[in-house]
Amino acid sequence: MRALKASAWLGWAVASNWTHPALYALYAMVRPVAMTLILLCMYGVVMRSPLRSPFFAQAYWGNTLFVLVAALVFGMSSVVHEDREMYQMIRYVYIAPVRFTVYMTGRCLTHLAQGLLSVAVMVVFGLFVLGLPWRPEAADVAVLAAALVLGVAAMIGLGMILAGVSLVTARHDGMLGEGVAGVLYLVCGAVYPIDVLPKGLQVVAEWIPVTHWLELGRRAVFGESFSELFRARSDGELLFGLALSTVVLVLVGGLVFRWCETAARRRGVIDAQRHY
Amino acid sequence: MRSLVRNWRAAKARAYVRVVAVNRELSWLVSETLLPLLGVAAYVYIYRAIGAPEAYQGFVILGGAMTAYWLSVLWSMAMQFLWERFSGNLELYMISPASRMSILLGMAGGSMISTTIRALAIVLCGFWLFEVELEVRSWALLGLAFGLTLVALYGLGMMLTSLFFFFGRGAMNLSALLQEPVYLLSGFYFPVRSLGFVFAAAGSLLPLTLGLDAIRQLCFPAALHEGFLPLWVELGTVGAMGALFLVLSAMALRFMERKARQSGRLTLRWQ
Repeated sequence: MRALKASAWLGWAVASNWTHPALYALYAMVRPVAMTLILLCMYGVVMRSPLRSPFFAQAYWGNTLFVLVAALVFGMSSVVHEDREMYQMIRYVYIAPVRFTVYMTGRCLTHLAQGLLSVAVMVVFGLFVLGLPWRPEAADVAVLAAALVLGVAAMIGLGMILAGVSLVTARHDGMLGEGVAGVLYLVCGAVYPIDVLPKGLQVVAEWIPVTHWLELGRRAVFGESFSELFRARSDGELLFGLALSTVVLVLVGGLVFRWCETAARRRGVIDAQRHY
Repeated sequence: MRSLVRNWRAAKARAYVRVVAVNRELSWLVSETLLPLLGVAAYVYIYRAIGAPEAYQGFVILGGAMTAYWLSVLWSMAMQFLWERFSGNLELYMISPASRMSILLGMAGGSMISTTIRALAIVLCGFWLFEVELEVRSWALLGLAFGLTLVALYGLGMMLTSLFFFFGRGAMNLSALLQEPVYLLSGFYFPVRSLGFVFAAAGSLLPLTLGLDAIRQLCFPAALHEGFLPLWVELGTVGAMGALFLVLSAMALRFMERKARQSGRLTLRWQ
C-alpha cells in the first residue's frame, strides 16, 4: 500500500512539477477542450445546429470517455520508457523492495487521475458552455459506474501488455501506446457509430471491450444506443461481454508482462538504454 | 569561401542524419505513416457518418498529412537543441567552427525531406483507401504553395529551436500542448473559415493555416468557397512569413547562445 501511494505520488510529481500548479491546471484543460472544439467544428461545417443534435451529444460523450482509454494505454506503456531512457531510474526501482507491477500500477493511477480530470473538464464544458442536450434524469449511475470500473481495469490489462513489450523492445516505446490508442479510436466507435465502418472492422469493433464500454456509457447517460448493431443487445449482455473481456485482458496482461520481464532479465536489458 | 564550404558541409551532415539515419529503422517509417493514417481514417469516418461532401474527406487527408510536418517542427526541430543539451552534444556544436545557423538549416532541410516521404505516403494511402478524387487546378501553383508553406513552417521551427531551449523539461509538455490547439486553430480537419474571421486570422499567424488553406483551394476547386482568403493573398502572406521567420530564427539563435552562456545552461542536463 505504501509503495502504491509512493509511486502514485512520484508519478504525479513527474507529470506536474515542471510548472506552477495553476499553469498545470490550464495545461490539463486546454488539450481536452481543443479536442472537443475540433469535433464541434467538424460537425458544425455540415450540420446547422450541432449543439442541439443528440447525435453530436453522443459523439461528444464517446470522445470524452475515450480520453480515459488514451490516458491509461499511453500512460502505462510510457512508464517503462520514461524510467529507463529518460530518468534512468528503472534499475533503482527494480532493486527497491517493491514489486515492479505495484510501482507501475501506482504510476498508472496518476494517469487515471489526469484522465479523470480531463473527463471532468470536458463534461463541465459540454454541459455548461456548449449546453448539450444531456438528460440527467435518464442517467443510469449504476451501469455507468460498473462500465467505468470494468473499462478502466481492461485498459490497465492492455497497458500491462504494452509495458511488457516495452521492456523487451527498443526504439518503439512511444509509438506502441499511441498506435494502440489510435487503432482503438478508429474501431471502437468513440465519435461515430461503428455502422459506418467496413464490415471487417465492424467485426473487430464488436469484440473489443472499449466498444462495449462506450456503448454502455452512452446508454447510461442518454438512454439509447448510438449504433444500430448494438440496439438489440441489452445492458446486461453488454456488461457481461465487457466483464468477460476485462477478465481475459487483465489475466493476459499479467502473464505477458511477467513473461516479458523474465525475458528482459535473461537478456540483461531491463535498464539498457537504447537512446530511443 | 572557406567558411561557406564549411557551413555547407555542416548543413549537409546535419541533414544526412535526418534523411538517412532516421530511415534506417524501417519500423519507424511504417509507424510514422500508419499512426497519422489512423487519425485521418477516424476523421474521414466522422464526415461519412454525418453525410459531409466528399471534398471534406479530402480536407482531412491533406490535414492529416500536414500534421506530420507540424509534429516534425515540434518534436524534431523545436526540441532539438534541448535534446542535444540532454545528450551532451550541444557543447560540441558550440565549439565547432561551423555556424549554428547552418546546423539549423541542415536540420530543417533534412526534416523536410524525411517528413515529405511520410506525408506523401499518408496522402497516397488516404486518397486510395477512401477513394477521394483530386482535381488539381494547377500543379505548378500547388508546388509553389507547398514549397512556400514548408519554408515558412521550418523557418518557424528554426526560431522555436532557440526559444524552447530555455524551457527545460517543460518544453516537452509545451510541445504536447501545441498539438491539438494548433490542429484546431489551423483548421487541420475542417475549413478554417468556419472558425470565424477573428479566430481564423489568429490561426493565420501560423504559416500552416494559410498554406493548408491554399493547398485545399488548389486541390478541390469545387470547394473554393470554403477558402479563408483569396489564393494569392494566402501565397503572398506565407512567402513573407518564410522570410520573416528565417530572419527571426537567426536573431533567436544569437539571443539563445548569449543567454545560455551567461546563465551557464549550455551543459545543464534534464533541467
